[in-house]
Amino acid sequence: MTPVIETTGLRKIFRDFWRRPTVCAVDSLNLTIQPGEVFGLLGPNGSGKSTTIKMLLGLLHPTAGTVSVLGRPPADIVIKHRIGYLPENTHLHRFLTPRETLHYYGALFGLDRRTCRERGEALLEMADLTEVADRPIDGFSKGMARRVGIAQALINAPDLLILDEPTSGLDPVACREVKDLVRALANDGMTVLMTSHLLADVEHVCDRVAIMHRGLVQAEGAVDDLLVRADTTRFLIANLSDAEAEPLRAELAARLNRVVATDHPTVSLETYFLDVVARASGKASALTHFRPAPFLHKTGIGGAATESAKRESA
Amino acid sequence: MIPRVSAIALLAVRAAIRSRMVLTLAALLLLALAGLPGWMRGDGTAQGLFTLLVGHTLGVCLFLLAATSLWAGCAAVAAERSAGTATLTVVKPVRPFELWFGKWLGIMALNVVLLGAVVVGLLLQILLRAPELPGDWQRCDRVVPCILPDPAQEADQALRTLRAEGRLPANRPVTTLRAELIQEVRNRYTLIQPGETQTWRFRLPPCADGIAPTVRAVFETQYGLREESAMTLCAQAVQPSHSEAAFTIHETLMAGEPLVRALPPFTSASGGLIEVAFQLDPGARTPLLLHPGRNLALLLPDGSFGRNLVYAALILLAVLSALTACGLALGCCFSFPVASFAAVVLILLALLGSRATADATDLAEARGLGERFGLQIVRCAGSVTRPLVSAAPITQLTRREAIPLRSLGQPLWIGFLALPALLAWGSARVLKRRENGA
Repeated sequence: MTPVIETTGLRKIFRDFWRRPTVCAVDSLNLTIQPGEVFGLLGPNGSGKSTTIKMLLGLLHPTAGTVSVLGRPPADIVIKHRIGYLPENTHLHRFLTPRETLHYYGALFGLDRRTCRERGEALLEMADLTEVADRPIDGFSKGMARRVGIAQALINAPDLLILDEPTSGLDPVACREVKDLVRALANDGMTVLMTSHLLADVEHVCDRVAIMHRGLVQAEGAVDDLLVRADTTRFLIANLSDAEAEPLRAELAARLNRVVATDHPTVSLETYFLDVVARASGKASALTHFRPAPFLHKTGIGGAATESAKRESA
Repeated sequence: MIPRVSAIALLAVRAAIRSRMVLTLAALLLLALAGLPGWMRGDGTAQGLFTLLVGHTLGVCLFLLAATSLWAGCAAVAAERSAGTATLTVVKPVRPFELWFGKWLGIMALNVVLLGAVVVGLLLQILLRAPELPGDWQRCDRVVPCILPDPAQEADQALRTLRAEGRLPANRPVTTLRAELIQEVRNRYTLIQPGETQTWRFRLPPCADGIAPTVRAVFETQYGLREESAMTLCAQAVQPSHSEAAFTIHETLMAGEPLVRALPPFTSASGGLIEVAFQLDPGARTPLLLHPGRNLALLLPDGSFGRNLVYAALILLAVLSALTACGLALGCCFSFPVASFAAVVLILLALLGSRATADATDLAEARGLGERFGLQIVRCAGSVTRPLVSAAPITQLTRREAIPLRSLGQPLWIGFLALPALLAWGSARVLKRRENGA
């Protein structure tokens, strides 16, 4: 299967006005992302994540190496029809309303008026923006603007979705909703590349991650493979009291002649938070929004490819 | 391509409307249209009021629109880049040319609406104040210049004479000398001594049969003295020759003021030749000077003020289009503050250039590489802007001179097509190479 993104020996050196090299932001980056995968690019600030994304989008020209996105060079206008992008800072036209913003970006993808309207409404509903759809973005909070940003990245039903810090500025509920949305989109065949330094976000969503530091990939692999402690085994037993657990622990320690520890597993703070919010609002779940709009449902990877092929031929 | 370009154009229109730029500009235009004629004092004559209404008002409105077009062009791309919104646009399947053309189209749509409103407002003002204006304000005249010898031929003749007489200066290149002579011929005034007669001929255009022409001449005196002089004007049809006697009239004129005299219709024939002679009274105290190229013309009634206004609006729109294109090109190349500064420099360069190209001797006399290079830049800028600047039709409107249809060709071609296409091509190349957004 042709990788959606493939880079070989990618390097980016920034230069000053006199063309003198100032910093090597990305060095020897070899990356392969397969269709339908959710790939996380992690790293501290200044590690080269955003530079990599900008090179993948054709916003920056690589100093060395090759980039292939959806089988073509990133500057190719044809592949831009198939990419959705959410930048790190949601730079939207502040004087437009969310509805106008979606129509504008839809028109840039060459969508006809009817499709723009239909998709726009579906995305507004998905992002819970219907009530504020006709208010200028100028008065929006960062989180609301971020929702509009996510919606605009999906207006073309992309095959490849690139999200730069997608949860930045969002509250925990919206964060979780975005993560669920990304997972749902990936299940429907969309390839997602996301960066974040909120590790919990990436851990729950990504199939594979690469950790960058000073422009170099320091570790890469499936999340489970990277995080698993192969030398430790944990038994999970429901409804076991401490009194019942203690003899079992002693028995195991004696039999294996090793240290055996028992503890109570904890839920993540995010899950607890969502439960509290759900209880406070009298609902079964705090998560109500950010379900993929109907037009984003594709029949797997093949379906996505077929739609893209149709668009290209049109 | 069309949905993308129209979406970008619509965005430019929305940006202008919602940033209140259009509102402010509309208020200023309204103030100029309604307030200026009331605030400024004319010279008390009907023609003075007409000049004030049309010339001054339209001039101020054009200045406002031109400055805004240039600024809006700079802002359309450069401000988007600094705000970061350009990043989201360039990752979409939008070609740099489409982005440029969409912005240009949006700003031009606003210009069309605003200039249209100015034209309608001006017409309303004129209609409201029609009783105070000259009775024939709706009439426009076609200007027929007098027949003058070709300056190049005259210069060549003078050069031949100098060479034959062995008086050709050895220390000056012939090309420089020729350019100087051509310039001299162009700037030459005709001197009419007291008692002397000077004659000029005019070739009438086709379809001039039976139309009464008007002679317009502005005589001057040395040192700009304003003196009254008596003069005899004599006009007759030379070709085809007319049986009737020549038309003769005695006039008293004031130097510096235009002498306007209607001739009888018999002097005029399609494609014919009219001879007009001026004889200065022998008793006149000072000789008179006349620049036949600039200050002598025959006027033939042609068209209406309404048609003239439409033609003028088209030329002004071409000027605005060129300015918008320049602003966009600057916005593509530089940041917003630098682009705005460059826009001001561009205006100065254009004005300088439009004058510099008229004087061909500048470059020949330039000393040193720096001076030559500077002049060359100014001349290049001028060769592009001159047709637009010199075609500024406000003077023709105020003087009620018909703007010929064929004179629209050059400004429209340069303003709407050649300059925008050239700048769009250059800007698209810059945008393609630029990193991190348009």
